[in-house]
Amino acid sequence: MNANMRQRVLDALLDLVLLVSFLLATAPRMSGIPVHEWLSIALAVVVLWHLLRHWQWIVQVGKSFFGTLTITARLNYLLNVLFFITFVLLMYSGIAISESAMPSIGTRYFDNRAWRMYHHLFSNITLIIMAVHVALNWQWIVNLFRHRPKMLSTGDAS
Amino acid sequence: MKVIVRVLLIVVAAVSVAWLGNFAVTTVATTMPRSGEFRPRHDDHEHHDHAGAGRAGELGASLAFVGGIGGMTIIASRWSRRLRQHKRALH
Repeated sequence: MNANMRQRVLDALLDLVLLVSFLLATAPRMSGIPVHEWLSIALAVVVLWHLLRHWQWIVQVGKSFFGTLTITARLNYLLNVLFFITFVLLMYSGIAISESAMPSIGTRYFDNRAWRMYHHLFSNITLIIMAVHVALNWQWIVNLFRHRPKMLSTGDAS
Repeated sequence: MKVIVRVLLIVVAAVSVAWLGNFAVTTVATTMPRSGEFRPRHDDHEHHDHAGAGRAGELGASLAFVGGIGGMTIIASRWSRRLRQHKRALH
């Protein structure tokens, strides 16, 4: 396994961790509120790392967005932008209604029905977008687990 | 250095989105007074205190949701690709 392949496998593992953590974070009744909140904060850090890992893709596709780009790539890019926006709003609304993590670092518990409602709404929207995001990059994931380095060097999942 | 700039860009983008979201929600909350009101804490704890099957069901629902939507998207994109190939073959 060469360095490039190793890096790709590491990326895939990280993405898998992201997917599983996000699914766990959507079940606060099962995990409990403190785990839900701290896991979500950790998730934000991993998302940041994910974005940094795929920075080249973001810049390249962003530059050629109005140029020669396939409809699928354009849709994928727009979906990722929407994913970022909904994820930020999900995190922000979560912080606004935090009962455990934020109060433990000294901020006041802010009980607001509107933010609670929007948190649920953003959670559902983010879940839908994440499912489509995984589906659109499904071939990349499949290729990775089939260990085809040649194909891996041409694809990028962001 | 590059990484720091990139992190800062992401953080600035995130803060901007959060600020806009906050502005939008605050505006909606003030135009609909009852949606933004403060309530006693115990009211909102009702839904956290369920025990039993409901707990795992929540995760199962998320999994089914992601699997369903993801599966449908994969099938749709494959059909769309086949359709494009078919059209290309006809021409």
